[in-house]
Amino acid sequence: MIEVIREEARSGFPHLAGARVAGTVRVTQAALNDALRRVRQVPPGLAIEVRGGNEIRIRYGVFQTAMVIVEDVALDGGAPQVRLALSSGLVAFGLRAILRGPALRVDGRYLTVDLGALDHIAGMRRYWPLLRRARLRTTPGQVHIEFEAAV
Amino acid sequence: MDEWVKEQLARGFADFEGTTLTGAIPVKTEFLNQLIARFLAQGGQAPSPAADLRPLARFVRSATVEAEPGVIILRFEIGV
Repeated sequence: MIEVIREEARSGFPHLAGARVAGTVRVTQAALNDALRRVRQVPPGLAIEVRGGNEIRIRYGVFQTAMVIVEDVALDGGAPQVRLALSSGLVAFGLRAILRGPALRVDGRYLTVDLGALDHIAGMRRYWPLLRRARLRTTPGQVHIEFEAAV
Repeated sequence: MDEWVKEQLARGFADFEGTTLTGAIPVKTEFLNQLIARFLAQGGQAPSPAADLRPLARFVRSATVEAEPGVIILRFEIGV
């Protein structure tokens, strides 16, 4: 029976056409930091502090900087790409030096997180095309992920 | 990441407080009949889930089903 459900997922849920799920997932800073510690592409010791107004602070050793999450998540039919505006060109330069792999890249003053390139959530790949929109907002200590998905 | 999800599940999704989800899932009867056939072929034994999902039931605010020709529609609201 599980195999029937897996086959349905593999083939894009043809028998669930018209399904819609929407909502807001709220995640605490503690849970996010716990998840980040398990992501190979994230340097060990890196931690985030979530503030209001989409601001997050990133700490990595003595390095500390603020970033602003771009509210609309880019989908473009593939995996979500989360963009963060960096506080300065110097920060962009520093991040380029420590980041590894295609999941995290710096373009100009923006850091882009390509969720499709994160090994730890590779199992989500078949679900990304179902996302119709996604937005990120923050309150102190919490990230709010608003999304709508449809088959 | 599976391990992270299992840990959140074990903690009752305490770090997800305030989460709300709504959905409507039309399931074709053809698919339901496939599931029933597979269930009967396995001697009526339901597969064991990878994790105990029973604690999640308290997050279900509402769940209803409607029947239309050829399809069963499941509507739900979830709140953590």
